[in-house]
Amino acid sequence: MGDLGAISLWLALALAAYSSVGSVAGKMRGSAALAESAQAAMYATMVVLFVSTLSLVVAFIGRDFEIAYVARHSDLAMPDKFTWVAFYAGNEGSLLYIAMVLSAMAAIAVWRAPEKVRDALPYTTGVMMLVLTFFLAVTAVMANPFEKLPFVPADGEGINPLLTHFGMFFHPPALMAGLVGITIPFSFALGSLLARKTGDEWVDPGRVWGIFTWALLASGLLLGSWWAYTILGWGGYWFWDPVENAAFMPWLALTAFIHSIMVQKRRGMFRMWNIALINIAFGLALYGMFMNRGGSVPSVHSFGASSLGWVFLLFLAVGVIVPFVVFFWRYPLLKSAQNLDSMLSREAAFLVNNLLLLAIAFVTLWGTVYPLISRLTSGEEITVARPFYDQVNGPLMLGLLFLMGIGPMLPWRRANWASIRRALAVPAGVAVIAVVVLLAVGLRKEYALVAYGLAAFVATGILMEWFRGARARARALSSGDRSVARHIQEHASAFVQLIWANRPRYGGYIVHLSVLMVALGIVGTSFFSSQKDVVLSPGETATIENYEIRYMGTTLIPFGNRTEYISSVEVYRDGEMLDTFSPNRAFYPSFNMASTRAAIRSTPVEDFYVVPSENLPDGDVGFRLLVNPLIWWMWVAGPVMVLGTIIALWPEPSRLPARVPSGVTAAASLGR
Amino acid sequence: MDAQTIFAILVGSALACFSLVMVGYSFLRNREPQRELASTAKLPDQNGVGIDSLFDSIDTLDLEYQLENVPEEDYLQQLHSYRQQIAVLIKEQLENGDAPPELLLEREVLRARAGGMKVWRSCPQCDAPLTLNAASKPDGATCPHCSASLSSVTLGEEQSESPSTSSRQMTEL
Repeated sequence: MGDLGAISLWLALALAAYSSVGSVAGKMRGSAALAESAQAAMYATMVVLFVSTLSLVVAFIGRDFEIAYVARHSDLAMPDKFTWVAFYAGNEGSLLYIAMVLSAMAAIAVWRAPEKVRDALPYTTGVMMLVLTFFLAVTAVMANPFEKLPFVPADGEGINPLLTHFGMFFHPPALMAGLVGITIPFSFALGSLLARKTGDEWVDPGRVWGIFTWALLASGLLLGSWWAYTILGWGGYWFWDPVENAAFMPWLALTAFIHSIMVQKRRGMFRMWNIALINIAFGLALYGMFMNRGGSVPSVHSFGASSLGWVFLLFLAVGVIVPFVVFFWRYPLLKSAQNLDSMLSREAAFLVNNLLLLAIAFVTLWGTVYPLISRLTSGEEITVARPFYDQVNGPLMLGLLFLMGIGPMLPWRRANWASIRRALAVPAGVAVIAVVVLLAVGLRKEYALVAYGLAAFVATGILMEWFRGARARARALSSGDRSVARHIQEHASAFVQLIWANRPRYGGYIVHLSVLMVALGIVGTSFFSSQKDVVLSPGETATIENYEIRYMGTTLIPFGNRTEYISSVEVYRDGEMLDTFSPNRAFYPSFNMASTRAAIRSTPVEDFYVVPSENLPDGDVGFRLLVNPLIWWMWVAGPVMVLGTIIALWPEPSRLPARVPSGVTAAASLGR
Repeated sequence: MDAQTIFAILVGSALACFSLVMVGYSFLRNREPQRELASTAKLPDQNGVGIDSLFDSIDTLDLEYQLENVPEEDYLQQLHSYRQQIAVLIKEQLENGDAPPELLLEREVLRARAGGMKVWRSCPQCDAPLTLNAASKPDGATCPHCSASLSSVTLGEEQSESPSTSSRQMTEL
């Protein structure tokens, strides 16, 4: 299958290059046949790349060790279910996956593009295909996954043990798809600029693809945190690692973008700002690719031995400079249709939210590149660690939380103080009560108090809006029957109708709730987590908070590629036995690496976490014990966020003429 | 040459043929490579906010009003402003001739009303259905079936809205 994979990869490269050049040339020369042919080439690229991808999957399933990439990332002992993970375990497969995803997204985006962007579509296609050509060229020339070994080894080296985790089925593909997916809204924006369509034509596809890639990145980040929490053995989930940051920064820029694009959609404002934002997001995504695929900053994720760094750095430079050159070229045409009516409006709240998000992104960027800068300037590499990010980003994030509470309460265009006071009175009251209760139970950490107060404020605001909206709709639905059952039925029906009739708004609120859940977990673990490291002999006990563990012994199980040490630990809380845990630690001789699986008892209140950090020769085991309050909410937030995104993105029915308000058409007719 | 290599060459050739057909089809179909790239009709709202967005804004404003986030005075003022913007856009569409058929039909009805003419759905004499054009012709319009004069009969209940309503709509904006 290696030959077929290689042939189809080169064919895809030729098609993508043709599509990129043909789209732009067809548009510039006004040749419909050429532009259509280039578009057809784009669809053909997807089909051909699918064959290439399938060839690599089949090679992994058949353990075709003649292919160097398969031999490096799998072995005979690897369970078949990890074939998909092994596919992107190295640079070569990851790049092929990225190309496949981009090609599929581009094909769908062009196929589903609304009529109003048709004029700009050849440029949009050209930009997408140019980016794809870059990835395919790097894959085919510098990191070809179908390269053959001069001999066929009896067995492969095996999959990296850290990747043999359920989260790995989704975390890397979601992140890679999210990073490369930013190309789609970026291409719609750049294509429109090149075609001199500087109005709001690109807003709808830009918004839909922006939200989609945002959700992919968010899911990838959450799954990555969960993976780190359960497998890395240190009990945390976020390390401010350069590669984590590399995915976090474009996510922040996209968060800003999907808010501000709504202002353009609704009011025709922020046209320059949105183009600038999507350019920034694309630039940060390219930076993320650079860090992942050969960045020069050490990371637990990066492929340190890769020689692709300079290629990605070059592409990053082009990808940042060219869009901004086009932006400034078209700058005089990018005038907003409306002006900001008032600083007390939703538009203004979105603007401040954007500034805060970008501030966090640039603080994170500074922390990420600072080791490089320090190495270049002083010859000494100074690493920026968590305290820097906590001190600088912490207050900014609290500001964002505050805006998340206020923003939805503000109407478009302008608000008055009386209505704001009325809207905020109850959420603010609940926030104060929450803080007082927390103080009363002995919580004294200011940051945590403010964060929980704000979380109560935001959650109450959202719930109140749901309640008021449902009540207003229920009044309209009311049958006059005052029975309790009928009343509940009307309100339930009104609630569903309310959400369904205003999907982008209420889908967004559900996503806000998921962000609150993540905030609960972050604050809980950042301020109230307890940790203890102990070494226990069989029969010995250790306590942490109101938990006690008794280490019963370790069973050693040899496998073909590893040796597993499974410890048995009885867990008690307040003297009562809860469970028997079996945390394990496996040693992989071929990688000279140990991999752990923590045992976790997870509840909405707190996690009790036990992980064996070391197995000593005399049978003693070093354990790390943690009590992590509220972290459960972080993992539940993922599905809630996906649900909110689906609701927000669910297509709205097209408007019927019957919805034209009375008086409007009459006025129009006067212009005959 | 082993079987796998032959298989790869065969499937690879098929893929190459498929790609060539895909790429060449548009040239073959048109046989006119320099055919000009069709441009979509210029929408009147290309440089402003779209009509759909304005309707969305009215929906949102209604919701905000129901939620008591917007006081009544602001609500009415903003509603009026959105309606005015929609009216201007529809007027432009009608003038440019790229309005949807429903709007064109409505314009005809309103023209008829504004001219004080009687609009009939069916002939008052023979009860045959009438087209809008037949019924709204200037003086002298007749039923195409029985040739009865449509202007000579008294206005019946077919007229869906009183002239005063349409006048009010027109003066409102």
